[in-house]
Amino acid sequence: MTSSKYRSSNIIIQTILETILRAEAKNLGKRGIVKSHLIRHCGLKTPVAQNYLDKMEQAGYIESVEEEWGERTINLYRITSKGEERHKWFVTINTELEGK
Amino acid sequence: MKKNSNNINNGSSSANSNHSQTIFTEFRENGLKYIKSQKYYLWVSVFFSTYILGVQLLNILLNLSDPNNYPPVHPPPRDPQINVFWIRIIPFLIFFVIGIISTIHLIYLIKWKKKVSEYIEFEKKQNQENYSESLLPDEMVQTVSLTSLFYDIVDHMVKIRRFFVVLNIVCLIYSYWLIKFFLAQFGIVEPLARPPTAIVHYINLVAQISLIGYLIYQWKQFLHWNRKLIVLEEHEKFIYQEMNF
Repeated sequence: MTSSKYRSSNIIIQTILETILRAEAKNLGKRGIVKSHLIRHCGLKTPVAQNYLDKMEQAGYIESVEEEWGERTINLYRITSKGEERHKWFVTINTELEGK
Repeated sequence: MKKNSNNINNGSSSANSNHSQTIFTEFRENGLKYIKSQKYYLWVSVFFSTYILGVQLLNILLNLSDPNNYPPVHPPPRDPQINVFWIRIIPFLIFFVIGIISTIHLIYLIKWKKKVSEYIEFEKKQNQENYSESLLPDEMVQTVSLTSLFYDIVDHMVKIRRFFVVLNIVCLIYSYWLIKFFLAQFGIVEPLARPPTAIVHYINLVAQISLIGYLIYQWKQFLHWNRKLIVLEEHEKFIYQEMNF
């Protein structure tokens, strides 16, 4: 497996984590972000996004929550502490080595 | 895996939101600091390279306008038909390679800067509006993220890493002229070229010193990026495996 293959997956994973964090931080979704909005914000195609969301959920990076919205039920995605930790690693790599 | 949100109390939800805000603020601040440092690096790279390239163009123009003053070669080679040509052309070729690298930097800088502006604009827009629900209009949908900005730089690092090897080989060849140039400053060897005016001489001197500074700076950046890429690749591999793709 080449690093570029790891990279393309990681770009999507980190973008999903960033989008959830951004949404929660901006209070756009206090209890997470609606799945369709998340996909739209990440600029992904639904089947690709679904694959990543499932994998990330299985790995414990994010969690899916069902919420009743009128007569409908919507899916919300939230970041878990593990997801936060993985994202923090990324941020650390991003910034820690700066200026050294 | 799915949970029902009715079981989650509002207190923990709010705390979670505040926690996310703290993490995101930290991420955003560090990200912007990172962007700033990269912008600085790119500007320095472009400035030095452009200056050096400009000086060489000036030299070419001056030499063309006064062919008799074309740099003499010391000592005269045995086969001037071949050697003189190459000896004269190599410094220009060297600066041509440096020029290509600087142009790549410049094109990249313009494209990346545009993306950074888009991101800042997006943030401003989002902060100005007060959205009470999770629905965002289409024009507010995020097109540039800090993640994408970071990975753009990573892509650039990978490309520049390859160019850097070429740059160093080329500069190693150029060191012959560089050493002679500096020795000539102290009268140890005869000058390779006699500039028509003192100002041109000083411009050339600054260019040679800039080249050394530029190389040291690029080396520092290269080692730094190399280390960063190694750490990043390890991290990516770990996440990839954890995802069980």
